[in-house]
Amino acid sequence: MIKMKGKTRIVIKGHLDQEWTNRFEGMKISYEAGSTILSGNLKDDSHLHGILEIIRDLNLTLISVNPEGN
Amino acid sequence: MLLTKLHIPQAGNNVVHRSELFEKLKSGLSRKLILVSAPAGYGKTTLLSDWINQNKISAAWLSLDNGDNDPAVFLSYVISGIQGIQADFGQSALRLLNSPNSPSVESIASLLINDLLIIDKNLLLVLDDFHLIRSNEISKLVIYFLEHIPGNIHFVILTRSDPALSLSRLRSQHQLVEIRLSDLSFSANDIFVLFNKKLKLVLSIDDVCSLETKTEGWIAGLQLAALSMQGREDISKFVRDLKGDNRYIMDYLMEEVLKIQTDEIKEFLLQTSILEQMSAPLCNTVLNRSDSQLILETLERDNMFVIPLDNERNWYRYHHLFADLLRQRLILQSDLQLERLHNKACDWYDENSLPELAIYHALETRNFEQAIRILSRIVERMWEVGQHSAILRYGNLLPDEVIKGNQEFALYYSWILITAGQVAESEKYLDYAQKAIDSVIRGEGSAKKAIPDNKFLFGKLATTLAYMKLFSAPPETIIKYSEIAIDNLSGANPLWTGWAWYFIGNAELVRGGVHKGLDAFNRALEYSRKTDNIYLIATITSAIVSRRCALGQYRDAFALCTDTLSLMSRRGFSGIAKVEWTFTGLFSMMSVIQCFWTNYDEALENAKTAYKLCENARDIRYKIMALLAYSYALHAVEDKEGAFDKIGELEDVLKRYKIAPFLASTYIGWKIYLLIEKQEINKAADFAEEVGLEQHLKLSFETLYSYIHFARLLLQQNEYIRAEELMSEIYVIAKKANGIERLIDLKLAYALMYISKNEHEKALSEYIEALDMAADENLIIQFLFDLDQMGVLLNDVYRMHAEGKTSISDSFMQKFRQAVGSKIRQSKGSPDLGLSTREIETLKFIAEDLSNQEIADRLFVSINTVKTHLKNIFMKLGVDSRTKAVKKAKLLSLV
Repeated sequence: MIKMKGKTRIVIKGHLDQEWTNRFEGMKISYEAGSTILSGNLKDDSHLHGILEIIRDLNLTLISVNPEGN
Repeated sequence: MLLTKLHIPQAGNNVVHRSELFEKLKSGLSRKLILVSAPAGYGKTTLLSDWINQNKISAAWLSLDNGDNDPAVFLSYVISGIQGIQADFGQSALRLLNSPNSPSVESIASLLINDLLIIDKNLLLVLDDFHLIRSNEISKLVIYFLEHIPGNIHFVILTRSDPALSLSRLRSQHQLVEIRLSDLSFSANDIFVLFNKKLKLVLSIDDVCSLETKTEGWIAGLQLAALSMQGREDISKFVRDLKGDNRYIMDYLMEEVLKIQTDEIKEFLLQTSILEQMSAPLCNTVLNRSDSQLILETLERDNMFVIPLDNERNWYRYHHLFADLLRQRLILQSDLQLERLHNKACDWYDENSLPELAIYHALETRNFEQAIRILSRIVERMWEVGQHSAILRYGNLLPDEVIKGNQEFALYYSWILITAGQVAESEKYLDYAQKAIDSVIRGEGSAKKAIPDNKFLFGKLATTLAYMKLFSAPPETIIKYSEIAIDNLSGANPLWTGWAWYFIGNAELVRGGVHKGLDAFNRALEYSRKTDNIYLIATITSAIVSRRCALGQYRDAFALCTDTLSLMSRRGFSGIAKVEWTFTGLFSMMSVIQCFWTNYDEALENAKTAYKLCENARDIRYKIMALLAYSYALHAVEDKEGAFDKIGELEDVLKRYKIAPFLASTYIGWKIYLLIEKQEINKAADFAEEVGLEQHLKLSFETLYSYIHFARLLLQQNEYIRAEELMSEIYVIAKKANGIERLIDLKLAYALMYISKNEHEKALSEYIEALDMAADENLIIQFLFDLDQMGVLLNDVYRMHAEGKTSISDSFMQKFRQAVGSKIRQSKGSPDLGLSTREIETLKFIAEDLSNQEIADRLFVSINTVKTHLKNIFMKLGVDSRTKAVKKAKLLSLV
């Protein structure tokens, strides 16, 4: 399994309000062409899994997870 | 225990019955697992509860939460759930579960499987919100269940993400029915039924189709939409406007729903969203109201995502997703308000004896002091019922300083850490206790001063410190700590006093005081039997038994084993001993003793039990003991390959772990013996060199067994001088400790040496001395090992005994002769009874039931010759009829 750490960019389908920022600890919310971008520094794998779980629990559609700069 | 977790949630009035999915679920009644896997809000729970209700299927339902990640908690709920259907289910598993030494979950699972076999109708075991389970141990447990459940039991797992349960294997075995997102999403038809038939809203076909596209059939979204439509004039416009801006649909709908609520209801919804479950009194306290019951019932009636958790309408919860969305809005309002709400909820739960939920709210606002205050009141109980993972989880959540400041919690947390092998980690939490006890030892303070008002707590802390230092501190320290513990516990707490005595026993043994050690163990045993803690009882019994064996007190040792086992069954623990790994040692030693006594059948059976148990053993010593016992028993019944295989298994274990000298020496000695027996002298010598027997003689009582066999190896290599030197050193040590078993081994080695030196008389005298020593404890097996060489002594032994020249009892001599006789027959395959070839041929014909005349014809001899053969056969086999001759011949594998 690829270890996710450092600057990461998570793309979600649709527009998620800025109010949700506090739920995605350490991530910023921005928008790009109809998608919501969560970006920030990931501490480790569990941090990522925590975020993915929130995305799952809200039934948001995950489009991609990428290390930033690549 | 929260009984609300076992309640099957009711589907509500406006449920859309989904007959096509019912069909699919029905096919699950011939499978092991029904998996309903889809995101939140797709009606998983509703579907299942509706299906169960409509079809009156027996079901044990468990709504999981984060606290269920402790296997002990999880299993308690599972058992309680099934008890709702079969009242006597899982009684013994529950007793085993409620012990402070987290028994292996496999042991409990195998007991539960036995109980499940009794249930004869279809039974569903529903695990709702399984995605909250993160514990590998629980996943392993569910896998074990899935592998072993009978055909009428079916697991139903409702989850937001696929569980790690070997799904592809179940799929390929046709043991899995899956209901997924695409099955659950509402079709246009379902939407039409919900809005137009159930909710009596009037939607056009176009609106229905548009809703289907915009919500993608997501039921929670559709229901929020329905709520937002209440009282609207232009529903079509609402549908058109929906999701026009690509915004997260739930944010949009939630706002719409809240917009049309009164301020009062809006506030109620937001502020109660912090509650995992709600009752009217709880809501009244948290919100300073008095009409919460009315509001809750109104919310339920209005389909505001409120689910009753019992039939009496005492407890409710919100749909998880709905609560999540509400909470998100509440958090944005004010931190102060949030804290106030959590504090009130915490206090209410605490006052109403629901400590776990109180702790949950305290931790939500990082009120660690409050959390540990409540925890310290329940931690002993949690520890007693084996909720170790839960305690570890709390320990992880709390800051170190907070834990150090609460010795009650620190005590149990440390104990669990030590048991889990994290001794270093536990040290920091016991630092305070350590300082206190050291000042008591130095005479600088009393226990009362150190830990005010709580002598018992101080006693328990001292016990835990002794436990922590058992393997690192000098024995004197362990004894001192334990004595302080016993003094402070003042006999009031048998469990802790038992442990303290047990630690003293261990320390005495390290100091070399075998008898003092045994005395301490016996005190420990006395206390342990006043408790229901089977782990403590088994541990202490094993310790005593192994010491008694080392002292040659086999009868006492064996009697203690049977006594403990019968005590267990009197207490209602029968059956548990045979599944719980802590009894591995007991069964291993019983097997070895039975081998000594040549009770091979029982020995083999007990060795097999020990071997089965050791699979789950957490303590490596037990694994080694079981493998050695099994090897020994297999050898005793002439399965020499099997005996060697078990040594191979043992070596696999040894690659990964280090073991105590006594066990290591037993393994080394036994392997050398087996190699000598196989005539693989070079291999034996290489092995002896590899384990370092040759280079550094580390003779002690603990290691004697390996050196005795090393001496025998030297004899095989004709190194008489070195062998004799070694044997005389062994003798001094064995004699000093009065180790009967070792002395017998040694005498027999001497006998072998004299035989090969042709000094028959000396050999005979060693042999008879050995027999003399063995007679009291009825030890025979050691004499059966080198019969091919020792055989030359036997006639003289028997003669001397007959002439009254030995002091060996007749009864022992008789047993000895029998054992030798059957061993000779066994090991030679066909025993040398002096039967001629013709006589054996005759025997074979008798076995085929031929008449004397027929035999005569076959052998081309006269009938008189046949009769002579028969007479000789009868005499040599010691029988008096044809049937008995055949029987005996078969026994001896002659025919």
